[in-house]
Amino acid sequence: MSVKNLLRKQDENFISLHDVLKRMAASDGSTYQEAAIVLHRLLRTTDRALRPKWYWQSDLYGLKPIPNQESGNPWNSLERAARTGHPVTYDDFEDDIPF
Amino acid sequence: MSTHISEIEGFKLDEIVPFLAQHGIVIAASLPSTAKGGDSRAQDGKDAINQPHILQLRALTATQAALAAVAIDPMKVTSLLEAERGNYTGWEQAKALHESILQAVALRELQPLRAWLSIEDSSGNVYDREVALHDIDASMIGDLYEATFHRDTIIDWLNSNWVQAEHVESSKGTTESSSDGSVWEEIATYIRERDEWKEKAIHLTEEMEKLRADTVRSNTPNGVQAGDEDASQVDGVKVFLPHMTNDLREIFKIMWDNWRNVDLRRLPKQVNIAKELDKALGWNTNKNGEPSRNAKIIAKVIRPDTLGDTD
Repeated sequence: MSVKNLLRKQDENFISLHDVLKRMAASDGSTYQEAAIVLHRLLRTTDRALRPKWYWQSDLYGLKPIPNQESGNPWNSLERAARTGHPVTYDDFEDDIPF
Repeated sequence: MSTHISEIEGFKLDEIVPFLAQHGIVIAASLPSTAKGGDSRAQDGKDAINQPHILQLRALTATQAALAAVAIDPMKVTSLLEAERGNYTGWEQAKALHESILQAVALRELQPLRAWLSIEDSSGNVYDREVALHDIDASMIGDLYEATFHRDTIIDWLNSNWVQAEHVESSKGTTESSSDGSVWEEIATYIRERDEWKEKAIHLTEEMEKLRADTVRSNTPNGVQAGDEDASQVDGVKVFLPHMTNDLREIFKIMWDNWRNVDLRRLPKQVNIAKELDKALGWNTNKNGEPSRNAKIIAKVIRPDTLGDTD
């Protein structure tokens, strides 16, 4: 297995928040913002044990669950998308966490 | 040349896709702009499903897979019933295939993401209940109602099962064609017949219940008699006892006499019911002429809960 294939294989079960929202919007022609609002509501109203976990996909460390599942950057990113309808960029947060 | 090392937040596909599907949102495996040429399945034309927009879905229901496999677009026709009522070409095959997929799930040949049973309660109401994947077994054949699958899982299964069956059908057509010319129509006929037998079975079960209730009534001399014209008008409950005693018979009689078709403005007095019980059961009243304590308790026991305790 080549280096590239190995990297791809290890990351293939990951989907970024940005891609989830884009695909949700594409599934029925809704907007990116509507998709973000729906996902935010669904995640917030579902018991923690039953909802999908947030993960970091890092080039360096691979796929890791985010320690704080209840608050922090992933939620900020989703809330930002729900409020503005735009993906988070590097400039949105001081800690430079992109989608 | 070095590249910027990135960190991205998101989800595991096998967690977010079923989660969204659970809420009726099926997201595409890839976006239209990037799908072109990306999926060999859509191009070779040999797969059971070769509608590119369906292949973009990450998860498929059994219904979607069955419809897509016979070239009915599940994005336009969303149920087998709609396909049948609209007489879409191939609806019989889709119906048979749907059944076949769910049977494969019950036999654990096919691993779903989620599955649902169709349940009928004692009142005849039908509803769906999700079944835990580890509980699925062959006894659920015929009762599984719907299932969702990872796209690749269902397509692989269709490729090795349904396409194969299609070849059997075409080869059969050249040698010994059946009376209607299609093995799928035969299967659909079997399914239709099975559904008819199911309905007959339900009807017979209801008849049996009715007969059993009549038997209980006729075995309860002082209850509502079988053949009593009013019997069908009374809202009662069926109780099956291991045996009947003389005292119970008396108690039931008094219960019926006092609480059948009761007028809410003129409720029977508990004290009178207790006196009747004393008399019927041969119990002595108290020294002051009041009903016995036992009779009062039984009178309270047979009083409808909905009326509360006030006399």
